Parts: sequence; structure tokens; C-alpha cells
Amino acid sequence: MIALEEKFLVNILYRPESEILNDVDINNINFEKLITLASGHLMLPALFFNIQKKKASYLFPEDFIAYVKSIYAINKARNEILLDEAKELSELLVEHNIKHIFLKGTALLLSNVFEDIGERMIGDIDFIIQHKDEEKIKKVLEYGNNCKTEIFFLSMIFKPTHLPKKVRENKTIAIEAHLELLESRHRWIFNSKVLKNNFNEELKTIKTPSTSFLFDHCIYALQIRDKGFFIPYHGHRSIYDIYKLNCKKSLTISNINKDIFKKHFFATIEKFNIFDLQTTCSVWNIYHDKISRFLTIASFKILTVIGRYSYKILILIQLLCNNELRKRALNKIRIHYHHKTLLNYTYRWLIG
Amino acid sequence: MKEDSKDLTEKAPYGITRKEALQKMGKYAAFTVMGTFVILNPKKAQAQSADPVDPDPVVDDPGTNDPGGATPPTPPGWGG
Repeated sequence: MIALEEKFLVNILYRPESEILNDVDINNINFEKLITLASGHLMLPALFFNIQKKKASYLFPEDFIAYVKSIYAINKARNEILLDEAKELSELLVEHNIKHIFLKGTALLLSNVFEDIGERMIGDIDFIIQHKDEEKIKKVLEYGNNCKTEIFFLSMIFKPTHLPKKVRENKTIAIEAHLELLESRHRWIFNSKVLKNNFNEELKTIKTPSTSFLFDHCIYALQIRDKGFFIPYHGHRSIYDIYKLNCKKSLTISNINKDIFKKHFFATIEKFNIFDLQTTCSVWNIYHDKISRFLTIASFKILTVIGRYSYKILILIQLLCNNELRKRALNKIRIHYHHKTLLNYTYRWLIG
Repeated sequence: MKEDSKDLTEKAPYGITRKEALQKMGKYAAFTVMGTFVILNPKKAQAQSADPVDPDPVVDDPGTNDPGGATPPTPPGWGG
């Protein structure tokens, strides 16, 4: 069952002018609910842009239009700053010989995926670098000594997805330097090796990945990192990105059916009828999908548990090898052991 | 409270108080999910930073209690 406001939102965002009122009685629309819905999906600027584009402002109260227009204007001004700062950052990284590729919203904006730069809400400037440049970028972006990502050989196994988010001096937008695309326990599905060819190319500013990469990253980020695969959640911001990417190469039934995450993404949003794709066709397929999804979720749970304990065990092994660390740990434990279990205390102290 | 009222009346450099700004924004501001303001306000957006080492389990999120309703769950990632 789709709420009336969501039907209306979908019509405005994805359908032509003539179909905006399909299955919708405008008199029953609750505009406060529409604001809550669209803002929850970070879609207010896109809503305004499409209302203007499709000449539908006569359907809305005046104060509604004034409000979404003001949000759109603020977002557009912010995105202009974001683009300037991304370009500046890119020049700085090239100056220091650091190959980098922009990701997510920044990459979409730089690739001119959107008709208007005010359409997409973007939190920060995401970009990925090669693992070998980690120390170099910490110096260039002045992370200081506080940025200890991992300890010794643990960093080889549990490389963080990104360095801590930070706003550079005299800048407005936060930057996030990625080392990987997903958390370590999910990297068997999707990892930075897919960008190997991009990194092999010569060093240059404002580098963005291919549309098929942006398509895949958008789906995996929503399905895995934002848990869309595990909970009944769909994000219109991601759906809108996919819609705007218009990646015909990736939007084929055979391509989607090959991958359980992509299939789940399109199956979840099938009810909106945005993309002309039929993901499920027979009873056997439905059961097959359900079993595959159950097994994938089970393996995720097992991997999470294994990951958590192996991390703790590796820290303890490291304690055995490093005299100085052992001495400090024992001293701390001697003072605080009654607060928590020994293993937990050691773990938290070491990662903190 | 005193600080709040001072905050509401304090003039910004471009000559509008926060109270005036809220009045200008209208009633819809009250129905807007915080995430939108967090992104539009970079300082708060920075505070939303996710921990790079995320030891939390994947499947424990309760999700939404209103799957067919108009109120969406708060997006887990407000980043890029």
C-alpha cells in the first residue's frame, strides 16, 4: 500500500507533466505530510525543481511553493560552494601527486547527471584514494596525530572505509577521504578494485568514475551500507540518482537478475512503476529470491560475528608481541578491570 | 531560556533575526525532517560523521513501524 502523498511525490519526480495526477486526488493530499515525506528522503530541492519544470505549481498552496523554493535556493547556493571546494581540493591533491576519484553525490554533480545543480542534496565531498596514499593525504589534509586509524597489521585486514570526516580551514563543506567503498565485512561483494583501471590512468583533477560504477555504488551503498537489503526501506534520493543516471547498460533484466542486491533494489521499488523492469516472473523465482536473500542475510550475520571476534583476538595477539603495549594495557586493566569484562575493556581501550 | 531568547533576537550579519527567519519559513519548517536542515547547515553535517570503524551488527535496525505510511524512516546515511 502506497500512501497518497508518496504516489504524488513519485508522479512529480518521475513522470511527465500529463501524468502528475495519475491515481491521485489532489484534494486529499496532506501537504504537511508531503513535506515530511520529501524532506525525510532529502528530496525537497528535487521536488521544487520538478514542480517548476513540469509547470505544476498551480496544484500547491502558495506558501508551500515559497517554502520549497527557499530550500532549493539554499541547497543550490551550497552546491555551488561544494563544486568550487571540490575543484580546489582536487588541485591540491594533484599538486601532491595523489590520485583520487570523486564518489557519490559530488561525482554525480561533477558528471552533470542532473539538469540543475540545485536538485541534489549532498552532505559532503566524498572521494577515494589508493591505500598507498593514506599517510600522504593525512599530511596534506592536516589530520594531525589524532587520526590513528588502526594499529599495525590490523590495518591490513580492517582498513577503515574512510578517514574521519573533516572541514578544512576556511572551508564550508566537509570532506571524506575514502580508502574503500564499503565496510571490511562487505568488501567481498564490492570493493575499490573495481576502480583499478581508473587509478591506472594518468593523474588529473576532477576525476569521476563511469556511470555504470556510479549506478553500482549507488545500489550497494543503499542495499548494504544503508541496510536497504535487510529492512523494508527505499530511499528516493538513491532511486532518483539511478533514474537520472539513465544507465541503459546496467538497466537490463539480465544484468539485474545476476545480482541479488540489484534485484532486491528493483523488486522493492517495483510498486512505484518507475523503471520498465519486471524482476519477478514465476513462483519458482519468487521462492528462489526469498531463499537467496535469507542465506545472504544469514552469511552477513555470521561474518559480522566472525569479524568482531577476530578483531578482538588480533588485538590480543598483538598484545603478546609488543612489550610496551602489554605493559600499558596491564597497568590500565589493573586499575579498571572491575568496570567491564577484561576482553571488552582491552578492546575498547586499544581502539579508543 | 534567556540564551534561547537572545539567540532568537540576535541579528545575523545580513540583518534578519532567527525568529524572523522562522516566521518567514512558515509552518512547513515544523514538518521538515531534521536531516534536511542538517545537510543545509554544514557545521551540523560535520557532526553527523559516521565512525570509520563500525563494529555494530548489520541486521539489528528495527526499521520503520509504518512501512506503508507517509513518514519515511530516517535515512541511515546522510552523507554524499
